[in-house]
Amino acid sequence: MTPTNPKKRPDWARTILLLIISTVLLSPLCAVFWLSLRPRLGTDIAGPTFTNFVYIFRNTEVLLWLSNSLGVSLIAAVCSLIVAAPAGYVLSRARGRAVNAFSLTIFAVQSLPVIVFIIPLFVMFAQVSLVDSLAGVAIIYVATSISVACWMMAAYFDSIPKDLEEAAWIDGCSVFTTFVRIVLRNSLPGILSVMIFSFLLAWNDYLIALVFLRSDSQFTLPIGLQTFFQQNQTDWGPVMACAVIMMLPPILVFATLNRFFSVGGVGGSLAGR
Amino acid sequence: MTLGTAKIDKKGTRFGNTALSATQARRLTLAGLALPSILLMVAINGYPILFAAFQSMYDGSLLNWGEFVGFGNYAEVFRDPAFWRAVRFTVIFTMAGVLGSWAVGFGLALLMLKPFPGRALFRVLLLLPWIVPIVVSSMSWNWLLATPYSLLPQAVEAIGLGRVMFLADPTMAMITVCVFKVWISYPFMLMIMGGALQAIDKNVMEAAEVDGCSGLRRLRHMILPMTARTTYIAWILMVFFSVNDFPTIYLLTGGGPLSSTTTLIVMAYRTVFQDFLPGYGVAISFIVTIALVALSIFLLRQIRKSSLQ
Amino acid sequence: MARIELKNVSKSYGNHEVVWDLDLVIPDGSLTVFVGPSGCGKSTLLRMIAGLEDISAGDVLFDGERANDVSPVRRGVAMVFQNYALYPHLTVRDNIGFGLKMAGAGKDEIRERVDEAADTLHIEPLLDRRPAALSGGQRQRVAIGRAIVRDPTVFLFDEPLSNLDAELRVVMRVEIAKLHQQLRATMIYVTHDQVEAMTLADQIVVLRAGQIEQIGTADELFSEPRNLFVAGFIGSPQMNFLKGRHIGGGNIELAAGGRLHMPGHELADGEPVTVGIRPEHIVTQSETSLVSGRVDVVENLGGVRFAHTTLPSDETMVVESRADVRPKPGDNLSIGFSNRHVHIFRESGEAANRLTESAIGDSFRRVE
Repeated sequence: MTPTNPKKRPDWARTILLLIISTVLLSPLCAVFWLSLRPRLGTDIAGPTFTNFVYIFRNTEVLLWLSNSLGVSLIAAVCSLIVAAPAGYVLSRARGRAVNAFSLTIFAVQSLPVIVFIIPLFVMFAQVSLVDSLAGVAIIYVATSISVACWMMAAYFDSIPKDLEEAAWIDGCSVFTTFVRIVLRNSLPGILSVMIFSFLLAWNDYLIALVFLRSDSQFTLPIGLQTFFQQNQTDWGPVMACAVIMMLPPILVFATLNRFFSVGGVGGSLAGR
Repeated sequence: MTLGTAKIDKKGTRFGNTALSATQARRLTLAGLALPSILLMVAINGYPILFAAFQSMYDGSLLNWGEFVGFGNYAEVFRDPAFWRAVRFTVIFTMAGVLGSWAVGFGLALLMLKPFPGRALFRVLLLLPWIVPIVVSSMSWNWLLATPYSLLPQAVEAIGLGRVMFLADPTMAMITVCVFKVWISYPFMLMIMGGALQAIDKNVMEAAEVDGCSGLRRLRHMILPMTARTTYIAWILMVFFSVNDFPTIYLLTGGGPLSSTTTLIVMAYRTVFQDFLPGYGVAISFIVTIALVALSIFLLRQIRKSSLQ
Repeated sequence: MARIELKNVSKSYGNHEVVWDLDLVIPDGSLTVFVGPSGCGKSTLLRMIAGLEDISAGDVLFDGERANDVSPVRRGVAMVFQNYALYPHLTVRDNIGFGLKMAGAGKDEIRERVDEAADTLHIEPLLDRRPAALSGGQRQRVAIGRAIVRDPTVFLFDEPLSNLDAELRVVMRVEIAKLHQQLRATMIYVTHDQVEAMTLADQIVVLRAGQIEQIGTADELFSEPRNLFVAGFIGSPQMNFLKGRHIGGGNIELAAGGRLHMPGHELADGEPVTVGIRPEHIVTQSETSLVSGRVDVVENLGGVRFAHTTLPSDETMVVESRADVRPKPGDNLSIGFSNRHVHIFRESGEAANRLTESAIGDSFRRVE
C-alpha cells in the first residue's frame, strides 16, 4: 500500500474539517439568509416566511433600486464589451511601439486608485449634469472595468488560431469584417466572461454610486440598501431580505459558471476590493 | 462571375490603383478599433488626472477653485498629524490584509489539495465572501458585532471574557476592520494559490514523498519555493487592493471611532466630500498614487530580478 | 492563371532575416514546391506571395504587375492552410461559399458553384455538417473546396498534408496532383517532406536559411544536386558522404581506403573533397568492391534492406540491397559503385564543376 493509492477510502475526515471551517467563515452570510426569513416583529407567524420580502417590495423603493442597478449594470456590461472587444483584438494581434504604449496605458489605468479621478470627474460631470444620473455612473463603470475587460478579451482572442483570420482575408474579408464575422463570432465564452465581469463590477460597486448618486430615485441597490439599513437598524428582517436580493445575482452567476471562469478571469474580476 | 481570372480586365491592369495599400488599410482599421477605448481612457482617466493635479494646487471648494497655493496643500498634508495617523493605519491594514488573507487562503488551498467528498462544492462556497457585494457583507458583520447586544459580544461575554466593544473601542475597531478585510480577501488568495498548487507537477511531489520528504518539511522545502513567484505576485496585487480599499472600512466603521480606522483613501474621501476641501483631498490621493507607483516599480524590478536567476 | 515573379525579395523581423534577396520565377500553370527544413523561410515566402506578410524589400509580380501592396483577395489567390482553418461556426457549404459571398455573388450562383466543387472533391454528403464533425481528411477536402470554388489565379498550399496520417497523406497527394492536371492552374506548395516535393512538383525550390539552394525538376535535383545540402536533403535514405582527397589527375583517395578515378572535375591537387553516393547505387558484388564495411544493423523493409555499415575510417555508410542479397549484422560487405553515380563536392559544399561530359567513364573500380 503506497500513500498515493488511488483506491483508498474517501477522506471524510477532511470533509468534516472543511464543513466546520466553512460554517465559521460563512456564518455572517448564513445569518443574512436566516434573518431575511425570520417573521417580522409583532407578527405571530412561527418559522420561515417570506413576509419580509413582501414587505420591502410593497413598502419601500427596493424595486426601483433593483431596476436601477440592473439597468446600470447591464448597460455597463454591454458598453464595456463594445469598447473592450476591439481594443482587446488590437492587443492580441497588433505589434509595434504604438501597441506597447497602448497596453502600458491600459495597465497604468488599472493601477490608479479610483478616488484620484473620482473627485475631478465629479466636477466635470457636474458641469454636464451627469451627477446624480445613472448614465454618468454607467460611463464610469465602463471606464473602471475597461482594463481587465481588454485583457480578458485579448487573452481569449489569443486562443483563436490566426489561420482563421488569414483564411478570411484570402476569402475577401477586410480586417474589420474578419474581426466581426470570424473572430467575434467564435468568441462567445470570452464575450460572456467580459460581460459578467463588468456586470458584477457595476452591481457590487459602492464608492462610485455613493459619490455620484444623490437622490432616492436614482439610487442603485447598494446605496439604497445602505440608506435603508441606516434608517432601520433595529428591524433586521426587511434589511436582510433586501441584502439577499442584492447578493443573489453574483452567487447564481458563480455557482453556474464556476468551471467556466478561468482563475485569471475570476482573480481579475472584482479587483480593487 | 469569376473572381480570379476575370479581374485582368477593362483597364488592362490586374490591380488598378488604390489609395491605400493592404498594410496601410490594416493599420488604419486596427487604430480605429483601439480608438473607443483610448477616448474613454482619456476622458475618464487621463483628463481628470491632469485636472486633479491642478486642483491639488488650489485651496477652493468642490465647484470653486479658490486661491492658487502651489504645493501648499502637500506641505500642509505632511504637517498634519491626522495624515500620519492615517499612514500608520494604512500600513497596518495593508500588512494585515496581505499576510492574513494569504495565510488563510493558502492554508485552505493546501487543505483542499487532495481530493475528498464535496471538494468541488467547498471550492465554490469558500469563495462567497469575495463574491457577495461588500454592502451586504458589511451589513452582516454589523449585525454580528456592532452593538453590545449583537451575537458575538454576547457570546464573548457568556464565556466570561467580559464586555468587548468590537467597533466602539479604537484598538478593537482596528483589529475588527483588519479581520473583516482578511475575511473578504482570503478567497482571492485561495483561488490564486490553489491554482499555483495545482500547477505543481504531481510527479515531483510523489518523488519527494518517496524521498521521505513529507509534512512540514515538504511545505518548507518543496511547496513554498515552488509557489514563491505566485505568492509574490498575489501579495503585490493585494497591496494594491488594500491600499486602494474604501468600502471595506467605510461601511463598517466610517473611519472611526476617533479616526482610528481611517486609511489614506478614507481620509481623502472624507476631506473632499465631508469637509469639502478638494485640493487637500486630491493632494492626499496623489501622494497615495505616487507611493503606489514607486512601490510597484520597485516590486516589479524585484520580480524581474528573481525570475532572471 | 498567373506567372509569378519574385525580384530581390527580402523579409526580416527586426534584425532577423528570414528571406534574403531572393529571385524566383513561377511559370504559369506550374506546380512549384518549396521544400526545406523548418525555419528555412518557405512558409514566409508563400505568405508573401499570398499577401499575408509584408515584403521588407524587393517586389512580387503577378503577370508582370507589382502586387506588394495588394490585398490577398485582389491578387486572386486561394490558400489551403496546414490546420485547414475552417470557420468553426459555419457549415461545410457556408465555409466553401464564404469567399463567393464576400465577393457579392448571388445565392443561386453560390449554391451552384459550391455543389460543383463538392462534386469534384466527393464531399456532397458533408455539406450540411460543421467542421467539428469532420475527420482530418474530410476537413482537408473542404479546405481544398474552399480554394477551388473561387476559381483563383494561384493556389497556395501551406504544408496541407502534414496533419494527416501516413496513408491518407498518400491518397491526398495523388488527389492534389490530379487536381493540378484537371485545373492547370498555377499552384505553389510548401512542404518539409522531400517525398511530397519529388512526387508532386514540376519545379522544386530547395530553400535553406532564407535562400534558394537549388531550383529544378525532381530528376535534376536527384541526379545533379548543386551542393551537399541538396544532395543530403533529396533522396531517402540520405546520400552517403565519404571524406577524400584529390591527389591529382582526377584520382581521389578515400579516407576509408580505396581510390576513385574521376576525371573531368575542376579540382586542385591535394584538395579535400566529399564523395557522395546514394545507397541504391551501391553494388555489393566482390569483384566491384572499392572499400569494405562491417554491417552494424539491417533494416528490412520487405523488398529492400538497408544495411548500416561502418567503414575502416569509422565513417558510416548505408547500403541498399535487394532481396537476393541478405546481409547480416557482423558481415563484411564489399562496397563498390559506378563512377557515373558518384557526386564530388568541394570543401565549400558546392558540387565540383565538370569539365566535359565525355570525360566521365563508366568503369568499375577495383580495390587497390
